[in-house]
Amino acid sequence: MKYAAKKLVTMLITLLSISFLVYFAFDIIPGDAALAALGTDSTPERLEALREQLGLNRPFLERYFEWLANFVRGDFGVSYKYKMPVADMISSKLPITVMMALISFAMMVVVSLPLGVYTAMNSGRRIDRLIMVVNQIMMSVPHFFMGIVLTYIFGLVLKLFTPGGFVSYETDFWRFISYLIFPCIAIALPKIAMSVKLLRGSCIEEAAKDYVRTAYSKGNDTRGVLYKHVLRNAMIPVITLWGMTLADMLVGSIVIEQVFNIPGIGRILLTSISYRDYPVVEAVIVLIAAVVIVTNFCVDIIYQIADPRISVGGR
Amino acid sequence: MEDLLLEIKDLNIEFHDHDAPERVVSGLSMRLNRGEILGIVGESGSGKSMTAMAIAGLLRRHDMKISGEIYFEGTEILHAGRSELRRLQGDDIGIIFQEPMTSLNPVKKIGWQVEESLRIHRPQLSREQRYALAIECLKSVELDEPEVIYKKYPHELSGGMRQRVMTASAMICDPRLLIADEPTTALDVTIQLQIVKLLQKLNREKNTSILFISHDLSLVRKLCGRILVMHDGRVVEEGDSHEIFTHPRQAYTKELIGAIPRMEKLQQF
Repeated sequence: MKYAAKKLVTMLITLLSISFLVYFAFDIIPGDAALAALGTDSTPERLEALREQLGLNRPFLERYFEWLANFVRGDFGVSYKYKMPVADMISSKLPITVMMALISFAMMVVVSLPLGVYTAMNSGRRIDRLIMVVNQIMMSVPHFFMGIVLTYIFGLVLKLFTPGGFVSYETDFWRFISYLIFPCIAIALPKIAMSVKLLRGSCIEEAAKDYVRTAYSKGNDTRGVLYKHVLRNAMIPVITLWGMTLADMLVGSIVIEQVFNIPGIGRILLTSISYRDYPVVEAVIVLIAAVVIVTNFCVDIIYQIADPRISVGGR
Repeated sequence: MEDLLLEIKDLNIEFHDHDAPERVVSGLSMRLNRGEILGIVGESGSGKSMTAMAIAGLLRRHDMKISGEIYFEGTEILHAGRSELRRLQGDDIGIIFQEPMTSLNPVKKIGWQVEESLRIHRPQLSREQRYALAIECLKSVELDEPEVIYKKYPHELSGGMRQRVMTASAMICDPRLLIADEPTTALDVTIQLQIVKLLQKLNREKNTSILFISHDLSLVRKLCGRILVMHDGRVVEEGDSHEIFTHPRQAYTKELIGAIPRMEKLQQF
């Protein structure tokens, strides 16, 4: 419990630092809300008047803490471009991106776990070598290219889905999911390849350890040794990879959303960067950072449960 | 009167992982009676650990060639089916390994590991019965506060404690044969003596036959009634422990005895 509390404090400090850095970065970048509202051909007097009115001339720290206080309450400010609350803009898109990340993550776990164990048990045989070659290819192909290939094969040639088509989750949930399947495969494939490789290596390494011999000497069969002993130990590095991957998938979906024309958070982030719509960019970045940090926190906790050696001496 | 438990006839073990086959055990024959403690001594690489693994049914690898016969209460171990072998392992044959630090699974609690053989061989027992047996077994290997140890992880125990835990988990099904493969090598001298005394006690109380494998002659002498001296995969001398120490017939045995550090010799005589 002490371990969790320590991690929690670290997590909060990290979140606070990130929010500060993000706010600070966008404060020193040229261009602000007044300029965005009035345009570059406006007079300096009118800009100054609007800055005064919006409170942009107040000290930086004062503005930061106000922004932070509002952010914590769920008020992310107002978009310069669309003149609507950022929270409203994000809240309708967030489920799409989160859903994509979750489906990709589930695909990765469901596919890589049995495949990693299978290749480890058959290591050196022809089937293992074949899978590892395919694996290596999957690992080296970037997910956006995989997205294009998938769109071509399954969308244009096999006509399994309409490229560029999308149905909102509010209209028809299951059709919404069906449109996410291929983008999710594109995101998941490189990650599946990575975790298969890691799990395979980890299983082979663990299987050579002394406690495995002990397990056999007690009358365990191969399945018992694998599931009760080897897998639990072999999963420890894989859990770390998966934790990083979940955060990576959220960010990775930004690119894939463009390839498959899906209106998620990634779309909002890219358009708002090009419009210098800072409140939106700030909110999205801080939210993504928060998800990454919270995920890492959860992984640390799971990690500690998976490996009892962590809590002792881990300070 | 002889009451035979284990008989090995002409055991040969060859490694085939290099270009030329490497013979690690050749023509080994031996007998072990019920309730007897037999010592196998020899330097590293003399094939004593391989013999132990073969008896425990743990040498089933593709890169090895094994011939000969190992009879354990009428079951021939080398050619037994896997399921038949598994019935013996952990139930009738228990084994303790050389490396107490790594022979326990680092992510499982001590209690779980001690009870493992019970879960495999006595599935009819309830959780409470298993717990009671495990606690009793941890007590019999002279671990203080077995209830506390039960809930600990291997890394929280010292080497000597872990070797006791290993002994407990090998003894929980009351095996007829306990193979102790260099159980004291990784431990310091005072702990070594404690483990030897513990093995003596288990042998006395439960009439378990013990195959004690060691390169440490002074320990073997303390524990075993009969000794087998191995060198280069062969048995070079066999006989009563006292007899071998006082009148070694083979040059190699004499060398081994000569290699015992002087201090210990002084203590003994």
